[in-house]
Amino acid sequence: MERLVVNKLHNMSDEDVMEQLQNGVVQAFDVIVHRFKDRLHNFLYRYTHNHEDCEDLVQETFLRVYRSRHSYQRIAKLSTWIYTIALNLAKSMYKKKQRMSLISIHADESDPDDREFQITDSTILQDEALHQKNSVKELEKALMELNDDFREVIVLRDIQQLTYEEIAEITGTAMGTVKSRINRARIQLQEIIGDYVHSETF
Amino acid sequence: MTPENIFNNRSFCRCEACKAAVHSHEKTARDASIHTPENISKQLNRLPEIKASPDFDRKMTARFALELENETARINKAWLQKSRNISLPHLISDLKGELL
Repeated sequence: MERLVVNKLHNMSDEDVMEQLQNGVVQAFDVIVHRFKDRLHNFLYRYTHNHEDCEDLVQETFLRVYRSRHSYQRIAKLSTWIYTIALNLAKSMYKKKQRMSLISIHADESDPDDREFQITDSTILQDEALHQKNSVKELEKALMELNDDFREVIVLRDIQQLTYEEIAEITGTAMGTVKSRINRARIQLQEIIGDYVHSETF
Repeated sequence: MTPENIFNNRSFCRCEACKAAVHSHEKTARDASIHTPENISKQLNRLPEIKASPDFDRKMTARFALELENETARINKAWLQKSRNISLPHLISDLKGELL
């Protein structure tokens, strides 16, 4: 009986599977996980550059999908809705990590030798060695150097192959802004990679 | 002789100058292939795909089971809070009365 339900679910569109989940068919959740897990890994890895964090984010995204299942409306594609959740989670995790990367140790004011100092935790979002010989690594490193607004649109467009409309919906920006950010991101990537070459040559 | 000249003369040995020439030539060729926005877009599309780890499904199933358990606990708690004047012993005796 259960196998029959699962087989039926596998033949449905993403949106129909989601409707089943909304109606209480728990097996629909596994189908959604199966369809989106690799896409989300590929997307979120460009944010975290760390497999463990990426996996946590993907799991959290799916749990949020389940918890907010009743707020999904069929006017949006399911994939767009899931990417929006994933992007928001990635952004908040990134901000949290940035805050955590600077650990401040407060000084004891009564002790003249105890001055306040700050430790930068270099293990977070660690870059590979500056001079990469492999163009893939150069590109991945350059991607991590882009600012958040540029990185999210170029990953969604050039890696995830989403349409401009979908990207506009996911990022909550106008389509014109999306297009211009993609162009500027590509130019900036070109410049960053150029800098690596320059610093490697001289 | 510059590295480029050495490369163009195509006479290589294992000396440092030749190694530098080959390295420089390979690098220039590689960089030329990536240094336009259009090519960057293509290269990004060709980046190796990052996939879920083999034990991802197992971990996800475990987390989802926990989520369902928590959800059930939350629903039960909310139901009990809403129905404070219903005590379980009464419910059981009512059921007994209906069944017997």
